[in-house]
Amino acid sequence: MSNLLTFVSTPGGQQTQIPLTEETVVMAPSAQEPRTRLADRFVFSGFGQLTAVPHHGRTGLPSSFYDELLRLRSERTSQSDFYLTVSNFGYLSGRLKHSNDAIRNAVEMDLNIMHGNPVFQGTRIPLYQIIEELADGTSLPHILEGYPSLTLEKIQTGLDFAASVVRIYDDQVSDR
Amino acid sequence: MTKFLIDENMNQKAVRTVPIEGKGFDVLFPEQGVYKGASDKAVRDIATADHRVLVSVERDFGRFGLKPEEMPDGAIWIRPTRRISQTNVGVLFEGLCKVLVQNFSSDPYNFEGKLLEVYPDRVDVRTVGGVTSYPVPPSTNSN
Repeated sequence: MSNLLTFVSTPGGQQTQIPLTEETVVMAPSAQEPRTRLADRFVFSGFGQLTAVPHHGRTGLPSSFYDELLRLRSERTSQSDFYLTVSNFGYLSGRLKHSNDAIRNAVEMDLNIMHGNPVFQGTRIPLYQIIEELADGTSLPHILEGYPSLTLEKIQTGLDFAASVVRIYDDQVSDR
Repeated sequence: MTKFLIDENMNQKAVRTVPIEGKGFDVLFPEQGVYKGASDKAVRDIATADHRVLVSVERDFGRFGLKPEEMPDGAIWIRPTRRISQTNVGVLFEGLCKVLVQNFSSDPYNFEGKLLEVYPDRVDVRTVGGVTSYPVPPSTNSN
């Protein structure tokens, strides 16, 4: 499956999607995306990140993409009118692909399910959500009650994957 | 009868705190449906085909600009600002119920053509005509 690079000019909601062969997925938010949330991720540095575009260009992005960016930039009075966010899909799917069997059997990533967020295998329950539950103090028994599709083992293995991606060295890698 | 489809990402214990069960509403949970692990599009299609109000807590639910006309029977998007958790979703549900009763008292469970975005402080109701915000009344619970 190819990754997607998407950008949207807000508030008009104009959107362009371009398939990429590289691992990085760049996606822009919908017009409804709250600015406060974006600020946590990537907001006004959007154009800073776009300095990488010529690099992508060598891999074959259509020139219309740059034309559109330039047009959007010329239309905006400030950078705050233009948003860009970066998704970790490429990075995380790579980590998952090289994880051990237990993790690969417990976690899946599909751009069609929860927009590509890692979910517990065979469910629509994102890993991040269970981490947020735990961070908010929900006990494991209550989590299991709230999400009947999950088992303790699935949750533990999902957390193993989450833990592996916040370590510099990953000892969960597959020996394949 | 208002029919709901509860997305699998919803904490079901939090959903059950909503005072709709036992009042003649038809609530479909993932365990009863055919949408466990289904794609985003499939879930929306199932809700539409079965004339159900989709209830989801997905952070990226609106990323691709879901429009009211795409969900003719309505959708409810729960949007905790910080963590998605049983507690926070329960609080947002409570706020949603208050807004519905206060502002749509004659027909609080008519979601037809509406996309409801539920925030801690307000509920945005999107229709083909635009967006209207309703503030969530303050909680009477001093705790």
